[in-house]
Amino acid sequence: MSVFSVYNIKGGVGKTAAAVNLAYLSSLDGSRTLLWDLDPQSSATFYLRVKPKIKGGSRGLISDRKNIGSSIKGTDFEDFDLLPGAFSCRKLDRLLLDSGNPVKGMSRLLKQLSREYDQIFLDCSPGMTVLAEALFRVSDTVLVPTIPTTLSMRTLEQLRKYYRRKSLDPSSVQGFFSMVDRRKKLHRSLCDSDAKKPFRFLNASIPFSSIVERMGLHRNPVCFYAAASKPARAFKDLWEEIRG
Amino acid sequence: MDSAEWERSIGLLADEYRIREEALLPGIRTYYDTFDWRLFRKQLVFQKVKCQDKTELQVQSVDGQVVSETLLSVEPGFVWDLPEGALREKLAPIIEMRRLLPLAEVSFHGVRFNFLNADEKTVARVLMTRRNASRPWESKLEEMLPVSLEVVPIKGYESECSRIIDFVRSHLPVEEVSASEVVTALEMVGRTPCDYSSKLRVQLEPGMAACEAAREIFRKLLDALLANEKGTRLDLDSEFLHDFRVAVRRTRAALAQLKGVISPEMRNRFRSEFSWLGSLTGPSRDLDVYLLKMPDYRNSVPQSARDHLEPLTDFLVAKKAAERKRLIEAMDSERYRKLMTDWRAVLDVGSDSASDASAAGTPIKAAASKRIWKIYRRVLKMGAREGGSVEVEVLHRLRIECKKLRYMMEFFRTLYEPKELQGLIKILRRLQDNLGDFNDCEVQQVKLREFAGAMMDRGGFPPETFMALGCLVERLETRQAEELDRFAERFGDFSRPENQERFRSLFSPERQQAKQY
Repeated sequence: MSVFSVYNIKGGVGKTAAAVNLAYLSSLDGSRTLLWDLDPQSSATFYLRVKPKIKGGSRGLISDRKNIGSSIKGTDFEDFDLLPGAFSCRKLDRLLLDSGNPVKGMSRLLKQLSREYDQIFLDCSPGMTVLAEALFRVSDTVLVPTIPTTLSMRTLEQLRKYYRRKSLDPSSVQGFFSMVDRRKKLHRSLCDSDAKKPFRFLNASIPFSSIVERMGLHRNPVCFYAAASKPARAFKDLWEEIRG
Repeated sequence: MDSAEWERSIGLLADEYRIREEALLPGIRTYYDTFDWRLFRKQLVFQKVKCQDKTELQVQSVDGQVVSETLLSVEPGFVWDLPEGALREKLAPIIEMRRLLPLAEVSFHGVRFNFLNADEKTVARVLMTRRNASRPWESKLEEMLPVSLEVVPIKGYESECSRIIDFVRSHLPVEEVSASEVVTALEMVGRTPCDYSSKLRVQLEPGMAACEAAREIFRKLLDALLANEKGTRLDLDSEFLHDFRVAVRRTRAALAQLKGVISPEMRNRFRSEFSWLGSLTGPSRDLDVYLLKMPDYRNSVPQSARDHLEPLTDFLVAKKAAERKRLIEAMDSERYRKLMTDWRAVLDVGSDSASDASAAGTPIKAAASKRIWKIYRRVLKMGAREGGSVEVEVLHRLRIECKKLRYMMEFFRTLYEPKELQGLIKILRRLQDNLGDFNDCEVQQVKLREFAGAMMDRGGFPPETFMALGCLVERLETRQAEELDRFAERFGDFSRPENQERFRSLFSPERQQAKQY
């Protein structure tokens, strides 16, 4: 089983769109795929038309071993399940901290899921949280969608410093440009620049597109409702690069 | 239930769910098994699913669970033609050298009804499939299978699924089926699973007249022979000829052993005719055996010599083609045709031709036990004599006697307590394996020398091939000596007093009589 965390300190960087589409593409390969919506806003859950509800709330997830499986919902696609997000997810951070060992707590939950899934995607909430640190430690890959702007690049630097301070392994982090608008000079120059980046960067990048924005209307992955579109092709390229 | 009925009824659910209909791609599913149903006997099914330009090979359990699958567009046949991987590994120990043959073809065309909730989220699916079954290569003779309706649950929405199942149950004339599609399809095209087995099973009653029992055995053997005739002619795989030959050999053994139940003239005539048929099948079968042994041969010579054995394969293939031609000519001959029809007539007509012999009216169990007991005692005597120094010639005779004993025990299997008889067959088999392997090593050495001679005469083969053959013969000599060493221990086991007592208890005429009183 492989665990991919889709994360950025900043919000609104196309994190959920990437998580939903990458998980969908993984399921098309025939891999049993789970997307775990860890964001209290539950956007991934909304995109997949599932009610944002977890049995027993996030306390239930942590305390009751059986609960995690019974909260999972099948999406409209074969081999693609969702562990829905809920407003109660905002408490997950504190609950993990209270448990004494957040990394162990997350590992235990993932181990339970590993029996049923080949690939697990975690759509993480933004911010430097206890949960984020635990996820950095338990994930095989941390995918960081990054808008090519100065501020975004700065947050990458912050993340790098954080990794150093916490003695985390930076080789599991893979950045990629997201919401790229090539009409903007700054986007073009940052994307095309050979300047050294704080983490390894994938070649594929996701363009800014109203097709992606319409995910909220279609409530389906872009790669499903506009499979031939430019952003869908970009997600495919990105997935191929990630899975190698 | 027809599809229109379903489509009318489904409207009743429209208040609660929005239903989105989706046509699925049509396809053809072909079910395969070996002639002797090796997969079905293990509760497995091999299928090829062709949908548009995608072909998938799958091994499933009979209840529909996928065990192993691979995407591939090869026509299933032998296991060694499949690509290496899980599917091949799963099949190899089960089907071995047998060819997968198509049994039934099901063409399907489905519609999927997605049940959507207020968020337009699919919460359950119903799959309606129209299916037609046909025999492969005869697709014009299609039989319509019942329309199938499958409610597919979606994880986390189990209650919706239950409601739809309840609705279907109460509104539609559906019948819940436990038999999987393959069972229904086979039935529709007139195939019965496990209708052939290379194991002989003749249902006999202890009080049956000996001649009637013998006729029953002969009939079953003739059925087995004819069942393998087509596959032998087409050389679908090596086991058709093997089973054909075994049926001939068993018939010959039965003709020799079941004296007094068929008139002597008849017996002599058919013994000689079946002997002719047996001798015809011998050379082709031998070559099949050597070709099947080639991977073992390769492994038993040094690595550097392995590729040099390849010319032997080519030689055997060419020789087999010539032998097969001879066999087919014989099977097309008037003599063969007459043998089959006359033998069938003897078995069908029955009493006039067969029961004029003296022992015909004896109850079969008494006659069979007497005969088995006699052969068993002969085996004991021959083996005991060999206890010290073993003469190769006598071991051959002992092997033949053991074979007779085994055939007789198998012919009359149903007359005895199954577990006890099976136990005795197992004891006998251990001895037979030793004698058989010993003989095989001997015959192979002779044959390989003969092949080497023929290859030498023909010329054009590299000297390395002859050196590799030399290695092989040497290896066989060693193995033969090992089997010879093992004989005393195997025979000692076979003839242990407690095993003798078990044979005595089942077959000795005195014991049989004692049981009656």
